[in-house]
Amino acid sequence: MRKILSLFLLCIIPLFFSGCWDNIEIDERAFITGMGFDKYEEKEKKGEEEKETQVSNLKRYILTVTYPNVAMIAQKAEGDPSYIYSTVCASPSDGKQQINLRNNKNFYLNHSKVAIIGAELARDEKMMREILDVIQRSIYINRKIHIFITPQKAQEILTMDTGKNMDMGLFLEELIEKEITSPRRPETSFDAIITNLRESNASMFPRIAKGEKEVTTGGAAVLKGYKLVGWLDPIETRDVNILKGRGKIADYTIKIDKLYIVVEQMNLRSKMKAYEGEDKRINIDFEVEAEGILLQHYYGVPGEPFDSSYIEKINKVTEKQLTNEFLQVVEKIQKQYKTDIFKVGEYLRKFEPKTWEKVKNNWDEIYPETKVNIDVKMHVRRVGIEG
Amino acid sequence: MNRNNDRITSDQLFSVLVTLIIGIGILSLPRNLADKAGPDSLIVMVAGAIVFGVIALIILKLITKFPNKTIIEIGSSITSKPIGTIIGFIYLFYLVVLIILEIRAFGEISKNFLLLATPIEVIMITFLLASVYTVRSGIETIARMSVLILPLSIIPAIFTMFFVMGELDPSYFLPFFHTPPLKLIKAIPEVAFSFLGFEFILFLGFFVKDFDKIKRVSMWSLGTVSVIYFITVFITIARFGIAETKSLIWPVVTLFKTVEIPGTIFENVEVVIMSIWLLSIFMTVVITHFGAVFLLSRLLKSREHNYLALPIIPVVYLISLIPENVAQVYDFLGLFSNFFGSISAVIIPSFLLAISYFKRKSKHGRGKNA
Repeated sequence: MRKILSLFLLCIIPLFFSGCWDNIEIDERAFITGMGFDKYEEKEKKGEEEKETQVSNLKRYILTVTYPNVAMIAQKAEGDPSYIYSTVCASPSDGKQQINLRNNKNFYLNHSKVAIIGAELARDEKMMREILDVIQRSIYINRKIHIFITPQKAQEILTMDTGKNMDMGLFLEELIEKEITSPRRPETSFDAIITNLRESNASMFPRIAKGEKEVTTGGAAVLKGYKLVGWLDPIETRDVNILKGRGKIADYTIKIDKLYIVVEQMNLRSKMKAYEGEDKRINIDFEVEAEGILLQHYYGVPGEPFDSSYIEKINKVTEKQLTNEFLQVVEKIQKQYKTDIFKVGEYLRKFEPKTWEKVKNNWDEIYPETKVNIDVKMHVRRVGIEG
Repeated sequence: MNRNNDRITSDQLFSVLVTLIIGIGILSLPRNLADKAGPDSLIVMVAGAIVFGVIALIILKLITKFPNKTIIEIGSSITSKPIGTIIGFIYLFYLVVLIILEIRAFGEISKNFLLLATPIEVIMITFLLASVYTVRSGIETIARMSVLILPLSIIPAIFTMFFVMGELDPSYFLPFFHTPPLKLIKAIPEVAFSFLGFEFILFLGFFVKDFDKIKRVSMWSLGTVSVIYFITVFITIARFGIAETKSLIWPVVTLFKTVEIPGTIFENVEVVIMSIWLLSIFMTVVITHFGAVFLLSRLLKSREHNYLALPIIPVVYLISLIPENVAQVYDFLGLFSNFFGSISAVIIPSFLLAISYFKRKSKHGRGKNA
């Protein structure tokens, strides 16, 4: 009896050592780093009526994915730095199925770094919401994924050569996560963007564009209610970031006495306040304060920058110029795009609940009519080593 | 069977209670709170903990009156034997259904996040078999295991949450007290029910060696759980905001998903955290399972309980597969814990306590008259 039992156990035990059921060896995975979503537009209208039963051949998206040549990174093989697949599909998961038919490696999204959305798609609210849901709902895609909108096609960006013998997804990840960041770009993580979109119905997506040879990130796409409504260039994005308190360092070129000088701003602090004014209008106050260094002046005028009253003058001029610039940007966002990027509604809801009760039902109409006051305080502290 | 003496110390009881109460409920607690109470979630959280503290005091009052007795005997001696048996059956039913719902919710969560290609049946069966093995070994083993598991599972998880500290925005809890008070009161049960499991002390008290300490220890464990819940709710809502927390099914798991430990060695930390979190869920199931088996053996007047551990598994397994989808599981869970939770944790204990007071008074009265 004992013998039979031990034999039986011997037969059973190997079953428990067989490992995971869903085990896929690491070298058989395609670690997708970048995903691109574009709207598919038929180049030529065939003049036929739309067939409703064409489900099997529904063409809505262009999905592009890229994954690095891992063997090359390990310096064990040569060849292209990355593999790129692109397909016309009905949905991203349909695209995944199609790519699975073509690729010898297993599609694996857990380590994806960037997602790029084409502007055409972002202008289509329905499709944009589909893509956001794909990313949000997925258990594979990390919520920290960097997300971009491009005025061109995402496919074009992902198929570009980085010039560094590198995969585009990894290249962009490095570009974003390097130590010296730029305030000329809004937050890139999906997590932050989607939270803003939910709380304030408005958000900035970082913009990515194809240059002649290089890819460039900078500027922002402005979204209102899951729909692309306009763009901000890198400088405007910097101003918005400063007003939102996110930009900590900037260097403004200031025109003073027909000279262009550069004043670096450090320890930028910004505080927003919104309240109901005496005339029943909503006021939005921005208070920006910065310390600074004179980075560039004019060679051969000794003594001038090393003069307290001159520095005071620089402060005054900088304050005026910055205030004007900020006002312009805020006006563009507020009047032209009518988008509550500064989360004024959220501010009122949190800190002025009584006012919010009054305005929340028609906030969309009230917001563009609000009064904006900007107050900039600049303190140049140091002037470098040239007196 | 003399493998152990089937007695636990009050220190062990602490770990048992904490690992028992913290289970699957906490993973969706911030969503329920954000949904019902909005920015006032933390206030409701505190109020709910206090409300449950009062309930806990009622339960403790009852069992300290009858040291080292189970709810069946307490029920019998206060009312009558048949009623005691009925009470026993109510608790048995409650515990079995709890295992069923817990095991299913556990299966759904682990299939969703960890074992994507493994059939949910396999996940649940292996889990249940492991539970059978533990339950057969008796309460002492379970208690020792919970002492081991408590620091292993819950502390790393709470510790990991602190890595998102830099991204928190506490202003999501503003404005203060702007939700209608009635709505807040309605949200309190949501918190109180996430402390369910505590009422198991009605029969766990039976095993406690140093019974005089039971009151202090169980209040301490309640306090610990409240603090853990509070931290979790605070961090989750401050991280995601009200609107986003509302929309996530398991916001706490998503929170782990967004954790970035400095240095790129660790990515997707949630897999590690979820794996150890499962230990805590496992303890919840094991203790519930043990409770059901123990009550059953008492009702059958059997001296041993361990042979009953396996037979209830097929029932649990088959019923747990009835809910069609994950939404239905949570509907049942909500409905069940609201209804039976309040019966077993609030109504029966306070009813018994009231009767016992009444009885003693009338006895006193009679004594004086005589």
